[in-house]
Amino acid sequence: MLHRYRAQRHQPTLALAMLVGLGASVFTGETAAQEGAGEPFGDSEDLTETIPPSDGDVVESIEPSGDSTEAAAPAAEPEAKLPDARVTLSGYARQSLELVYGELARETRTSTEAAPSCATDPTPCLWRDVFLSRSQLVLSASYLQKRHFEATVSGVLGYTLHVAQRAHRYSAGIVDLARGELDPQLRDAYVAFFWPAVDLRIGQQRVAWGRADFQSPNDVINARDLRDPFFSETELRHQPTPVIRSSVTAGPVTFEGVVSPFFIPDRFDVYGSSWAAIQRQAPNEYQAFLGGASLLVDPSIEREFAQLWQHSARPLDNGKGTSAGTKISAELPGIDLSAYYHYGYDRTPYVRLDPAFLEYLYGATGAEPRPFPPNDATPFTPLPQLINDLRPNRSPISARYLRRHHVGFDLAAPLGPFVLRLDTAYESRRVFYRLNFNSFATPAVLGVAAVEYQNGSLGDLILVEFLAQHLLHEPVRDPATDLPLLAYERTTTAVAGTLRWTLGESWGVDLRGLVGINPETYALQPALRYNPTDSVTLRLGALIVSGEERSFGWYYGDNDSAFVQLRYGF
Amino acid sequence: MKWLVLTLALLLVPLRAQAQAGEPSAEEVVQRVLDSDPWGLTKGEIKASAILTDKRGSKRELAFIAASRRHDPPLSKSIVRFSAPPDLAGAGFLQIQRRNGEDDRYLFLPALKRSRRISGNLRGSAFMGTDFSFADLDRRDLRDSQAQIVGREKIGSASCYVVDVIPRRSDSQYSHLKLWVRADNFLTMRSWMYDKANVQVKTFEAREIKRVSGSWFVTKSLMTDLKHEHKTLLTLHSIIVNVDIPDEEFSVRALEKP
Repeated sequence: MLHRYRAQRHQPTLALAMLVGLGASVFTGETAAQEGAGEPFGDSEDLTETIPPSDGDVVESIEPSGDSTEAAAPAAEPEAKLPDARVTLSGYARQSLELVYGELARETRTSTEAAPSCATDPTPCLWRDVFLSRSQLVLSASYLQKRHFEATVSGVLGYTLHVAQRAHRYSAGIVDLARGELDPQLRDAYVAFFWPAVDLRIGQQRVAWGRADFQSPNDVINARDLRDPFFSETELRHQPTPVIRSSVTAGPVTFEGVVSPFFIPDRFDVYGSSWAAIQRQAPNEYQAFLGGASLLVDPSIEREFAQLWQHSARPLDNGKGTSAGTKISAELPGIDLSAYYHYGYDRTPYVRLDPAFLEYLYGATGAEPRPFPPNDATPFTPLPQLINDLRPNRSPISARYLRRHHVGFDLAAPLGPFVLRLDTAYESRRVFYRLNFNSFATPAVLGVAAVEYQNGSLGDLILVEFLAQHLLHEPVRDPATDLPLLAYERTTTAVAGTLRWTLGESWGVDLRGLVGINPETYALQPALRYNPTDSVTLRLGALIVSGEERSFGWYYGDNDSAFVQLRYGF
Repeated sequence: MKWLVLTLALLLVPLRAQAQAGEPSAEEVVQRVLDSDPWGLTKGEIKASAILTDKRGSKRELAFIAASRRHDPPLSKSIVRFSAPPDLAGAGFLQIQRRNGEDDRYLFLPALKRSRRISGNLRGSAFMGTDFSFADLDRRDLRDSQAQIVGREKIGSASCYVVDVIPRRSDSQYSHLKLWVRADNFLTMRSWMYDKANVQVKTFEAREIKRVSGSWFVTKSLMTDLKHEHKTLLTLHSIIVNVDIPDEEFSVRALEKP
């Protein structure tokens, strides 16, 4: 055994110092120790020593040949100042394949389910995706100047291949059953200036208010991307929007002001995709109308045409679309508190269908829906009548956004190994839909109480959230069709949960789900995760959606899916 | 000749007595260990990496920058920002030690764009998947403990106090720890940790120490989890000591800065 003791500098001094140190009384307290007083070596020059391992094979331990862990570790370098300016680049590439088998599964149990198949039933319904391939490249770059300045830009280049199921009546000849969709997005694009007590960020950015995870009542600054609520990455479920944001800190209290000069709507599909607003359970008349209307344009621009149905009116960019809010938060020992106020828009469009248009769509009770565009059997005759019946300057379908006040409060406090969170909010107007999409707006209160357990590893998390929403006005049934609200009751309650747990070194399980209590519904997304390297994540899982009539799970019940996702981070 | 011997004896006895009087008690050794800052996590900035190796030899490397300042000594505030691996890049961790009650801890995940308070009661849990627990890093087990010097041993050519430490806190993950503390600079050079069943569960070994601006640091150390055959090699690449980082840099607002 060769014990090699290496003092890189001042070896004689060190040896002497150690001898002296045995008898030296150097208990001079913390300050003395930090400042080097009582330092046995008697000088302040930097020293490095390499210590032999306990197993005694010093040569191997100091310059290990068999232990690649140590071989991979770079040696400590002389003191170097951390860089004042730096550029960071990060991102990931992601590929997911989703097989939407919900309708197929439903067909196998038609004996117990009343809903027929679009493929076989003569009832008209829209095409929908049965297979999706989503490819995404997400890039982010930041320039940082010490603690004073930041410039960040990020973007997503996405391509989605949709393969649709042929519907009985409205797909053939209307859309290509396999279509590609290129979706480039500029996401963050902002500059930030930092002073000791003041931050200022200007530009397109994400402002995440609130603490809840599954549905955050106070997360109201940014628009949402509702086109893929279950399979997309978390950070892509909200859109960074143009914002001026400033915060001032005084002790444990921070005041934050946010101004959004322009209104940015949520992104969603009206029809033709798995999470579009119009699904198979929507009134057949709507499906017939939208499917028929798509005949007006060439299939190559059908998606652009479909976007036109999202809203017929939008707050103008002349100041009328401006929103503003403030947040006051305090991080105190053992508890965090925040209060919010925001004056802006409910981002769910308030839809009204003109009664004359509804009558046109529905025709005589019990009759087959009127086709659009009309055909030889049902010529154009009703259209002039419809136009005549519509009130002046009134669209047959209007979709606009309502101003509302938002007041919120939340807190977070640890309790033993858990963290408790509470998010509450009041909104002066909140928009809901009936099954025929005639909207209903009412003041509402929302609350999320959450319990989270973490064990210190980012890979492990258990989060349970209890969600509740109460509408302060009794929902009024639609006067024309007597339909109640879709997906919500006057008091809606649900439990949402996230389980993320590591199994061994490379494997893990994920479970994300929502179980509605009133109305009864569920959406569960279990997955098996495999990390062969730090950079690569492979997930294999399923989405199971179901529920009682008019619930979320009922409306999107065709979206039972199996999926595989591959992500490479860099 | 007798006078000479007697004179020498008389001269040596006080020296010996003085040496014995200079021997620190176990409590003093532990206090000096607590006063030291082996990983640069109480006052200054460090740039570091941790290589995690499992029993199959698979590796995962964390890279991070940590800044810290003392508040209410010996307590500290520290903020850690990760730059690797890719799934952790951009994440931040803020810890504010509290004298009474649990520490305040926050985690910032760039995907969420917000900080989340996490439990301060995770003392026995692994820090970011390493073999260092929160308690290993903040050494709170030592703060409230009963210690006894059980011997002197050499590691290399450095003499060390061998100290047996029994944590008093009921939530400690260890029944006791055996520390080898260098007599000259009071860095812990080796530590054996025993669980409640008195089974050795982890070992810590300092592999490289460095003095920077008068303070000693363990710049390379290996923590081994014996039960799971997992180890973490922690390396400090850069150390800036005695930097008076403003207090506002240890806030949730600062955590959300890049």
